[in-house]
Amino acid sequence: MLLDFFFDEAHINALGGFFLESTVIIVAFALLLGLVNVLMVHVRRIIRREGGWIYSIALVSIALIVIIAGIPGPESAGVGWIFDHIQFPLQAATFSLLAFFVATAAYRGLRVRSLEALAFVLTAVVVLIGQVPVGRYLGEFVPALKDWILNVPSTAGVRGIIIGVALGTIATGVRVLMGFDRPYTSERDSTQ
Amino acid sequence: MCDTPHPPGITECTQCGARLLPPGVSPSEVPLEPLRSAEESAPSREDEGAVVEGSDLGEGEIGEDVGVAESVGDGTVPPWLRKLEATPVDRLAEEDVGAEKLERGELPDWLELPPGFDEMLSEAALTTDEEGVAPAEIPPWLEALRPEPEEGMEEPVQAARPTEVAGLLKGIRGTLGIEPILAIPRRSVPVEPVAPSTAARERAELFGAVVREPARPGVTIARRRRVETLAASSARWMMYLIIAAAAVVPILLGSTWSEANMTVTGGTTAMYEAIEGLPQGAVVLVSHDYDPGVAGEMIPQARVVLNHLLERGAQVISVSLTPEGARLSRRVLDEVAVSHGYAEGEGYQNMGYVVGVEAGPRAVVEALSTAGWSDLVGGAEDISLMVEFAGAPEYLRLWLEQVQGPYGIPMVAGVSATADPFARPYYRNEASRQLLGLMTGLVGAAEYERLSGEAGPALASMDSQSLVHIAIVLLILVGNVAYFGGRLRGRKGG
Amino acid sequence: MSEVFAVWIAAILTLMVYSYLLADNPLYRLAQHLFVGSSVGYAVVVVVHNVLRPWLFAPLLEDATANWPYFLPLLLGLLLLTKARGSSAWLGNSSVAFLFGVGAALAIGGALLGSFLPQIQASWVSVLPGSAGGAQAAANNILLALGTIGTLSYFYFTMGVRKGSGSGFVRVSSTVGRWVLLITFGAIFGNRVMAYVSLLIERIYFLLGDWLGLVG
Repeated sequence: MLLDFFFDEAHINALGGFFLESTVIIVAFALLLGLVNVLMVHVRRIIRREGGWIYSIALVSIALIVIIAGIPGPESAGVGWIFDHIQFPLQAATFSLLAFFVATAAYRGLRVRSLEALAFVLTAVVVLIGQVPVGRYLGEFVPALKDWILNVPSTAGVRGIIIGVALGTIATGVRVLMGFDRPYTSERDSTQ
Repeated sequence: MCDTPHPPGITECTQCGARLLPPGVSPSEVPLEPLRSAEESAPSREDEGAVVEGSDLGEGEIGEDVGVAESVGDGTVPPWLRKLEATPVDRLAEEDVGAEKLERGELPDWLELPPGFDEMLSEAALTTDEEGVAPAEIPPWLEALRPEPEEGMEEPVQAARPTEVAGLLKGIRGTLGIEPILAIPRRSVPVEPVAPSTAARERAELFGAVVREPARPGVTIARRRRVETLAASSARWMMYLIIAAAAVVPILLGSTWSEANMTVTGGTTAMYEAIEGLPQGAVVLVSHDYDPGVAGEMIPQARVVLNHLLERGAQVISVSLTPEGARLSRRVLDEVAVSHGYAEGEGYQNMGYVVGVEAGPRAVVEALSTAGWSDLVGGAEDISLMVEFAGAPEYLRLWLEQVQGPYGIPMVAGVSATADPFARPYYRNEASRQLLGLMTGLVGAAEYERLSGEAGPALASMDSQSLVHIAIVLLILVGNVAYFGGRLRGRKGG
Repeated sequence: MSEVFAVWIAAILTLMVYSYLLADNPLYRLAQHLFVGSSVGYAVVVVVHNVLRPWLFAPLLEDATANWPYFLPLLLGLLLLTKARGSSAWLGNSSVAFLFGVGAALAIGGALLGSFLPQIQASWVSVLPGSAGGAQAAANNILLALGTIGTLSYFYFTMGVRKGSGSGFVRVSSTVGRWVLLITFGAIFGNRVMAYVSLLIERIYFLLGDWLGLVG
């Protein structure tokens, strides 16, 4: 795969392509494994009448309904209906709750106790005001300052983080490929 | 008698001339004897030669200190010792030299017990009862090893210890009793009553009074806690109400102030121009990598950009790294395609869902070059532009690292506001242009709508967005004012 | 009619989730379990139909002898399913090893070519006013470079080196990095608030518009 990444040769490309497809397929199996595992956990909870087992009945029932309705395909009417009118509103509402919590957190948590806290709070306030049209109404400098903050110091910080994370990814990948790290063996197999 | 300390071995006090006894011997045990001359002591020493030699361990001080154990008098020689006296030393030596070889198990003559041995034992016991066992002569070199008695340490009172009257240890003093000392119960010593002090008495009375009081449920405390909780909850609900009102009121009023005053940032403008510059019929790969959680921001973005793409006559290939993204994008694509005169399902190609790992985007591009997937493109080089809608930073990073970097395909992105800080370094890369344009959140969609000249739901939401942002900033201010006010009050009071 | 019914279902579910603002309650719990259940079911359907069917089953069913290499991912995938039970989990190790191998290789290549090198290159931009396009741009580039170095030194040197030790340059650049990171996190927080507010507005539009019909 590494060769395929860096070199462009027909045989390597073909083999690399096959490996890619195989990976996609195996990851799909892994996803299936995880999803089925969730269902098994809740089925066990129902059988053993553990805490909250009534909710588990709802979970398992709707999952089975969707799976059965999805036998013809994900574009079938039943699956589409459940997605549009049950899953979508539930997920959207769950994440929109965060707006309320972030407001209370801002009230309670963003106290200027030190210079560092002042820098943090000021930046957050400038970005909040500068992102919306009202900011420009308050003064031309507000959106300009917001742009500067996002383009210069924030970018510098995130760039440092990206470089660091990339270095870490390369190091971990090399360790896995060289065999120093073996996260794919079970505990009793690993030679420690 | 004069209490002058002497080294062991000295029998006569140098100060007062009193007779010195070895330690451990009581004066009552020692019969009074006149002092003997050196000549008289020599034969008696000869008689007891065997004894002395037996006790001598080869240090050879026989000739020096004469009579250490002068208590060994003439009249107190035990019977078993008399027998040994009868045998002179020479004869013993002769017997030793001329000794015959013994049979196995046969004891030599000298080791044999005499016939009257038992009688002798009983006699010895009797004599011990009356007169006490005569202590053996301790040679002077052994006496020298005796430790000095420590000051203050009393010598064991031997007279108090009982004598064993029966058994093997008959007649011996100072033996340990059969019963362990611990089994003997201690006699209880009556404790004198202590008169308590006044303070202690008062405290004891107070304690008694408190204990005697009947138990009371903590009603007062619980009530206070409930009030506190209620106050905290009310403050929380007030904040929720403020946020909800700030969001709802502009929508209900249908205000369009923001629409008129919308400013456009550089990133959105760059994205607009990148799409605007596409030739007619260009192949564009569009990836919808979001889920219903961020659909509120991403669907307005997707709608306005797809609209622009179809206006430019681009050929759209749609793909998704999330399962839900495939379905959501399908809805938007159909909506937009229909509005451009296409039938449902036409006007674009949908590759569906690919797994959201590194292999996914790469597999998509590789698949494009294989026949059967798409007749629009022969490979990655045929793609004019890639438009990525990223709900989370990792999807953007996947496409950038696996497709944009290796294949060099021009790329623009619309991201959720949470992903914007992580996307900026790629956009602000003047050296190697990784992202040609960047659109952020619902505000970015509103800006794009302003650029396109078509007002849509994003622009209409800007008033609510502005008002809620102001509300949150005011909450931060109020929180800080309350905090500093509390601190000032604390300082003044304390 | 069914459309109205569907809208009412969606609205009731939305309000069930919002009931959490008052307190944790059974309605909210039920809503969450329904959400998880439908997500799991939908994901299963999509994975089977959009990935396994076209990428694996279709080639095998079409022409098993010509497409025999596809038996390998099928075998590895089935072995991976044995990870469900602890006793047979060791069978799936080879599948996981294959995934790690490909993943590590792609991650290395991607991180190197897609993130590391381009970002380092980006920091090497010109600081001369002429080529940078103005004095302000040049100043910004200098600040960008200094900020990036400061952030890296803050992470790197605070990991191994205790405060106080290290040369003056390291200490200064770590301090610069710390302040840059504070501003970064402030910006991230501000953007996050913006995102959540946008999501709230979308739901309010649904409730007021699609459900109650107060907004056109």
